[in-house]
Amino acid sequence: MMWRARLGLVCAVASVLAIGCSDETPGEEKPSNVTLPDPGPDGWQITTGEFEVPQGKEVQNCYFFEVPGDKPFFVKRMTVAQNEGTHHMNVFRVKTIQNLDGAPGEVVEDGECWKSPNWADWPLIMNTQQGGLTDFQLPDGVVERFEPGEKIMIQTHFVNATTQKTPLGGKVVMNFERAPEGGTYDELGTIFATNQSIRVCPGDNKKKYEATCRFGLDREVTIIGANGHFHSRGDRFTISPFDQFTGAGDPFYVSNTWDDPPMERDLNVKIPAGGGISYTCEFSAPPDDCGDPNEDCCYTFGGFVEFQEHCNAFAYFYPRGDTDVNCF
Amino acid sequence: MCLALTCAACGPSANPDEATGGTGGVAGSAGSGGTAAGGTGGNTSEPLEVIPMMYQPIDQPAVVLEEDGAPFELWRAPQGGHVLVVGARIRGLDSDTIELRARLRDEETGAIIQEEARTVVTAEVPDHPGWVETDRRTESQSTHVPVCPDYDDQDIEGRSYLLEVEVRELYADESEGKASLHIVPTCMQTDPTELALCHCECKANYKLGDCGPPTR
Repeated sequence: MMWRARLGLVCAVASVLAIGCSDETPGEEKPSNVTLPDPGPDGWQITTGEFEVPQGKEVQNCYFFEVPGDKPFFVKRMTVAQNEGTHHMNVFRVKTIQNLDGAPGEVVEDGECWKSPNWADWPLIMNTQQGGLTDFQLPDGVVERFEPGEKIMIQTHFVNATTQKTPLGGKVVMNFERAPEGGTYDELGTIFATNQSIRVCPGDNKKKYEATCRFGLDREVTIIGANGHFHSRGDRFTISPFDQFTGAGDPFYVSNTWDDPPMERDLNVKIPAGGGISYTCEFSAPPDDCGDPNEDCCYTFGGFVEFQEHCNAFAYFYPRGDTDVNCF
Repeated sequence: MCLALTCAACGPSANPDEATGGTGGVAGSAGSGGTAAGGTGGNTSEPLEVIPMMYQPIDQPAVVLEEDGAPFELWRAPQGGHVLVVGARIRGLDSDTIELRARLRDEETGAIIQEEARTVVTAEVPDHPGWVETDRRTESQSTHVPVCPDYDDQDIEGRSYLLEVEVRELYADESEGKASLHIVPTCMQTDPTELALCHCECKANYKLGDCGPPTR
């Protein structure tokens, strides 16, 4: 998404991260496949490698990996680089296996990787929808914990069709940077909330969906990051703190851009005990538009950008408690 | 109470082919009863009359909820989790489009368990002049209150909760109405595996991965 606007940023950071960039001068830049430096003993790296995204197609692949080492791994920074044309990238911890699985190093191309019930109880590690670099540095004293041998999965979605273009093909690289050993840390928790059974039809104007995601903790938590996700019918996405007695507060996250939604990474939003988040999606579709012909040209819940819609919220908080949170 | 009783006597549930949910007390309604006649819409100066519904597809009898204590289906959503699919019958609308909001509260503390609102369209109710209901040709025109997985320390299934339903008219004079009653979220799946998943996800203190086999 928005590759050219981000390329300068990616290259500017390249001196630190050594991300691959073109040698050409500004104004003549051509995108090249992203890379990230080997983190060495301070972390580990996973990548999808390069793969084809044919013209007129959407590709969604699921790549499986195993957390290395023989003791818990505490991560203070996650860095993701994605080729132009990415629609989203999710990293999940693999839990209940339904019809989607793979050994470390294996990939499931399309097929079951499109079917969302397959990861219904898989905790989110990180989401980003930005081409180029996403650098997620956790606050001091906050880490994301991984267990040795834990299976994780990158789900990557590239689009080379009407709504988005993928000139080079797909590629995702992700680095996990270790926190110093022996420290005392708060553990990061994640929230993945999706409003299902949505329906956006030709002629709809500012059609609104609003839902809560409470996570039942008996203490205050702090949200440090958030982003929203919808497709091209999306007009406005908001996320607000939610109090179990007074309801939703003012939004701490607002996105009016479906194809380049901001990922807020420096938030300090307090969620009261027993609270959660409230998130809203507003959609419009021109009267002469047609999404899914089998749904009276409406756009219904699903991952395909060209004829379906999403209303997904992602947020990161600490201290985590006993579980990450998925709300449906 | 009297207003609600009036509704029960003359409202949509008078249709013998419809099911009414549960037994016990009578639902509260903020509606005025209105004066709708011949499906021409209501008096815009009066609040809307609202009766909560549990969604059922259009080819099945409507389930209108007028009495406390009704079991309310915990419906498995496509991607996961279980939701309460809450619709409404409404009298007094000038527009066919509303904002429908459903909120589940703890009966003792008043705390909001979960809440959902969405823009939906309504359709006329056959043989009930002046009344419309959330369009039952698709479940997307009812609210989906995402109550399970249940991260709280009290079970969702089998306990009584207060369900509040609010309607705000859109693209007209923004009349409003609301109703509330006590319901009991209930797993109603007929498939044993589906039923077990519903029981598990709607049990207190859920943690991601609890309802499947152990994984690393």
